[in-house]
Amino acid sequence: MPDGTIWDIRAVPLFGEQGEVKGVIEIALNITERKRAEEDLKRINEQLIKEHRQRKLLSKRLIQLLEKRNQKISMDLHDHIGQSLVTIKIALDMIHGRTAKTDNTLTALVEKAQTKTVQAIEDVEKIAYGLRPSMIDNLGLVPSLRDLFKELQDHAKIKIHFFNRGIPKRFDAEKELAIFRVAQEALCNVLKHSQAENCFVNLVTKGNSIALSVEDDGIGIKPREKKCTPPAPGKVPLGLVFMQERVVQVKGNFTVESRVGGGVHLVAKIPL
Amino acid sequence: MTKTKVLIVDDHRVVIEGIKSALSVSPDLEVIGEALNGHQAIKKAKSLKPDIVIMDISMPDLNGIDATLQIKKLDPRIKIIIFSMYSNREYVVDLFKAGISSYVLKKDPMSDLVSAIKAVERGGTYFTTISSEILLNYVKELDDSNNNINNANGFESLSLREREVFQLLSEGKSIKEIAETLGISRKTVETHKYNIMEKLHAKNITELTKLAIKKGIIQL
Repeated sequence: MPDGTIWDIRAVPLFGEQGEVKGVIEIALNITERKRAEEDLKRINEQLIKEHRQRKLLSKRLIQLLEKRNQKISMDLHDHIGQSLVTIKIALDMIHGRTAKTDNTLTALVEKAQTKTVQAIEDVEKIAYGLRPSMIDNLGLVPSLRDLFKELQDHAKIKIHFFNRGIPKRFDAEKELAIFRVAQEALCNVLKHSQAENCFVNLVTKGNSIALSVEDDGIGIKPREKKCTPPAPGKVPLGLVFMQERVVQVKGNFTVESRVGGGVHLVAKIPL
Repeated sequence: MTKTKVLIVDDHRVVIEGIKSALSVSPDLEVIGEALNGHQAIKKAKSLKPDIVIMDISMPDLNGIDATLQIKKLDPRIKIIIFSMYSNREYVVDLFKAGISSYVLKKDPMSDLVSAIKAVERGGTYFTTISSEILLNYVKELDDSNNNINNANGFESLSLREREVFQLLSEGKSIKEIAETLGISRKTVETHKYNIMEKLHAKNITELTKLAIKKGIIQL
């Protein structure tokens, strides 16, 4: 309408006794408000979708930046500090070779220095590994996971059973790292919360995807935590949210189930 | 007496210099070349024909594992001593399988590297404490798994939940029934089923059932 209002006008025919059209009933409804509400809704919806997309992109970027930064620091630690320490140790070894037979006091000092240097080398490598495991680049995902599980088993009272089949030696680097991080986080949770004695990890190819499943025989998790709802003030159970995000990033899907009898089973499926 | 020809491969110049000083005290050793990555290592191994290669693992372009494999293929007489920061089982075992003669850690005393060269010169091997332990465990595990190969048939590798699903599947229950019985989702049951069949090398339910009967889990 020229005055800006919107009308829904319908005409309904009036039939006579013989079925002939005798006239028309016109019904006019002022639907201006309704139309405005519909348009507002549509606009808000589009806005929400846009924001959601931006947020997903931001999350992806943040994770990429984080991993990249970790990798740089890890390499710098290993390449610069680590190797310098090795060089220092080599020099100390040579000095030790010369003072061992002639000067006990000096030898004792050198030996102390050697021990400290070796400790520093070990510490640097540990930190570098924590930031980014270089084994993925050298040997691939499966050996890196085996290495991770061995480390965890050596230091905790848990038996980790790892089964894998058909995993390509190397594939998309972002996906390899995502699977590694999810496994790392999942195992961390098992060790921290589950009191489990056994943990079964399966990594298999299923059609065009890789499926990682982690199952433990521990005490399970409470329903609230499963749904990844906002945490209670002061508490930040980021684990599940983190894992889901890493999986969704690489276009996979993530499910967690906790059974009445106990134990948790999580599955991450990622397309290749 | 001819000197033993040594090629040093490491992506850090400082380490190469360090090794050179440490080896300079041995008159029967001669450092004939240096390489900063796997590709250079292979090239120099081809052209300089060293007796021994001291090889790092983590290097850009081509790492020490791949370089070892290729040099051994090129000339199996060239002996390879790994000199690395890493003591992980995965590296030690893979490199052992690739044919190295020695594995020395960078944090070990340099005298170990010198002893390694001497041992390898004489045609022997030299594995320091950590790598020896790893290899001994590896051989033991190989032995164990060979003995178990007939008994296990993968069944021992099933998780608790997988065993439950396995039993129900071989009893002829449907995915839906299993899901309801165990209180888990259908998708989870399917995941378990898939993994069970992978672990037991079964192509279908019939084969699973046969295995279950064999194991005495169900009776005819």
